[in-house]
Amino acid sequence: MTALIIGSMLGSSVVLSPGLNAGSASWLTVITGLAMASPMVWIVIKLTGDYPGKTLVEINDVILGPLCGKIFSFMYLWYFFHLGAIVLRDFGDFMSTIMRVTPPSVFLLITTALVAYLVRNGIEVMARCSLIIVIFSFLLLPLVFILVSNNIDLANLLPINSIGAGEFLKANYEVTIFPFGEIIVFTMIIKSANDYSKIKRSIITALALTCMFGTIFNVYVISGLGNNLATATYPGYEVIRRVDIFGIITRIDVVGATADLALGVLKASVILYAVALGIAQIFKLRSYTSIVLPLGTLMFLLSLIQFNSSIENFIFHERTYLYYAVLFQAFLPALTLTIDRIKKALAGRTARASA
Amino acid sequence: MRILHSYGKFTTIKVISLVLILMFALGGCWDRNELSSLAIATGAAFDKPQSKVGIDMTTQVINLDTLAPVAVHSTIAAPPYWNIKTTGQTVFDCIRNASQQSTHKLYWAHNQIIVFSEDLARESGVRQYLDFFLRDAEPRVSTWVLVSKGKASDILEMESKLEPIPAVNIASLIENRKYTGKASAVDLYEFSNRMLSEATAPVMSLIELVDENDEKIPLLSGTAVFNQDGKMIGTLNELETRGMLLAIDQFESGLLVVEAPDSKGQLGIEILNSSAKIKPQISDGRLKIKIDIKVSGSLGDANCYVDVLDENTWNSINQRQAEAIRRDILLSLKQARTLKADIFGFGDAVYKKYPQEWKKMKPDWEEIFPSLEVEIEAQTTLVRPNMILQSIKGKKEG
Repeated sequence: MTALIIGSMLGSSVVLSPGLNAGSASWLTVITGLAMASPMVWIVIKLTGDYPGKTLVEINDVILGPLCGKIFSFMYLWYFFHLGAIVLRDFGDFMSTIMRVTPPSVFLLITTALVAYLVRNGIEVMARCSLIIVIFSFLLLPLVFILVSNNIDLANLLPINSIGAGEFLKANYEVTIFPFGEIIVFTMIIKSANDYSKIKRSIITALALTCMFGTIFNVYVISGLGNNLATATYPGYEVIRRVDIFGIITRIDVVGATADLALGVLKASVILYAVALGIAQIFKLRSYTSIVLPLGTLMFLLSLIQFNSSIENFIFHERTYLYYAVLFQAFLPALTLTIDRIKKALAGRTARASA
Repeated sequence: MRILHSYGKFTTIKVISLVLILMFALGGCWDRNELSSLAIATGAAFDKPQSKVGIDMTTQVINLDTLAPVAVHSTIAAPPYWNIKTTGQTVFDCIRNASQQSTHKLYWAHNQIIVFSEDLARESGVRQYLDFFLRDAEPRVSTWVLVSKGKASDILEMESKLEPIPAVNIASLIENRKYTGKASAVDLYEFSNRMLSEATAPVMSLIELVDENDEKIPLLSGTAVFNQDGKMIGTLNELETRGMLLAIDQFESGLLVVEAPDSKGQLGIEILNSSAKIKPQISDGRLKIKIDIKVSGSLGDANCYVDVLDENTWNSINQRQAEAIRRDILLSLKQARTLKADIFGFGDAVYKKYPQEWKKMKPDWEEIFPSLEVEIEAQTTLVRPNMILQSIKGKKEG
């Protein structure tokens, strides 16, 4: 479970490197961003903790009643579905920047097929895959760090207060929403954990490790790119592109791209699983597997048609997504939790004591 | 097949269909490139355009057919390269227009150098020429950038002696500058890093062709200095370049020629190690830059009698080494002040240490920079005299 969370948190963030627009202080944003995201994480832990063995869809039904709960669930599921399409699109854009002639739909199709295959095989398989992929990426991190070390100038990390507090907060907010806020997807998955009592610990471990990974990653992106950071489309990729060890080990970017892609597949599969399971539960299907392929196809189509260019994607992320996502990541869960608490309070002191 | 049998017939069909699917998938994607259909570009040169608008570009590509015999026996007449001259509105336009002349598509991943002619660099600047090389996924940011005195396309046609391809030759020359420190070595990454900086003046290596027995031989010497708009504003000579490299800690090795202690001749001191740090200090509201430099060298040669066992002589040689380093840095500082170009990155150092004060200084940095107080502290050590302790003594000496 820990690996699954790390995988989906790192997912597209290693490609898009959120929070790097805070200039030389960007390496701090992952830490402070996680701090800002902690209320959301707390809500996720509380909600799932109060209703063990239930997914968000079932919890909504219990707390808000069958009708209202369904409406809420549909909103969440739409968001998850859209998020999945965005994640796929991010990778499609990234891959087509590197491989210009190949149509993006080919990358998207292959990736979606793999994601759907993973999801059909169930959460167990996903979790085991994620363990391998995450360990692989964590091993890759120090390796790349060593390889880029001769390009690194730690002085680029200075000054810490290069930008105003407002801009810094904005960069933090970005990290809070993407990727940390996306932890809400796990309300659909946590119930599958083997040992429910350890769930709180594994969420916190996963987020701490993600935070560590992200910070180290940002440190070497910032110190490795210097002023060029401001112009790079994919800073993380750019820094690996620069690796040049005596002219022998060069152009190892493909290794980085592979790790990026593997993490992205993981993230997309977690999201697709959440959507498929949610819909299956709403319509009381016996199993979610039958709708994985149709949903995957729809996700693939949405990812293809939602933006005309990668810039539209970037602009959507910057102007719309950051405020649109907060509705599902913080506002709705907080509302649900509040209603739950009020209901419990009304139900009487005994119920309250047991909560 | 035994393994397949043990899993039954159904698996066999599955495996066969998988192989069939993979056959299509593994054939490669749309982006596949075959060596036989590529022209590997090794150098690009930009000259002042003949017409008022547009770009004149020369691309050097390797001719693989004639390159191989050169390595074996150099009797073949055709050069192992081909310089394609194209014109276009933008750099990419020029590159794509090359397909009208070349049967092979240009491939940029192995491009070594980008050369600009001096008049082009001075008049229109180089900024608009670099975008393609940074934006496109094929070229690398480790491509060397340089300015040529005279036509840039001539550089790609020079006589290549030990290296068959001129562009590769120049790339090797740039790497060789580590033995003299008399020329800068700037790649695309560093150039754009300096361009993007708020204060630092970008620089490039400077190359010229010298006539030697009617042969055009390249000479890499000095530095071209640009302003923040990417226009060339001046040059640094060899000593000034060395001073700059020493100050910005990019100096690797080189020979300092100093007067012998008793002024009878000259000594060559080879610098083995050098490290420098630029430290801005603000005291009483006044900005001062301190350059701390630590250098160690060895006595490389002497054209007069010198006895290093004499402690005073040894110390005084070391002192002269420190003076020579101070002199080079001061020379580069003087030239930088004349050009009003912050080639050392003093501004960036101030920004990193005093971001608040920097905001006030930034708009007038061009005026502040030339009048900055700079203190150079050179700590030198002379580590060894190498294989002999005393020079051969002439009859009349000593």
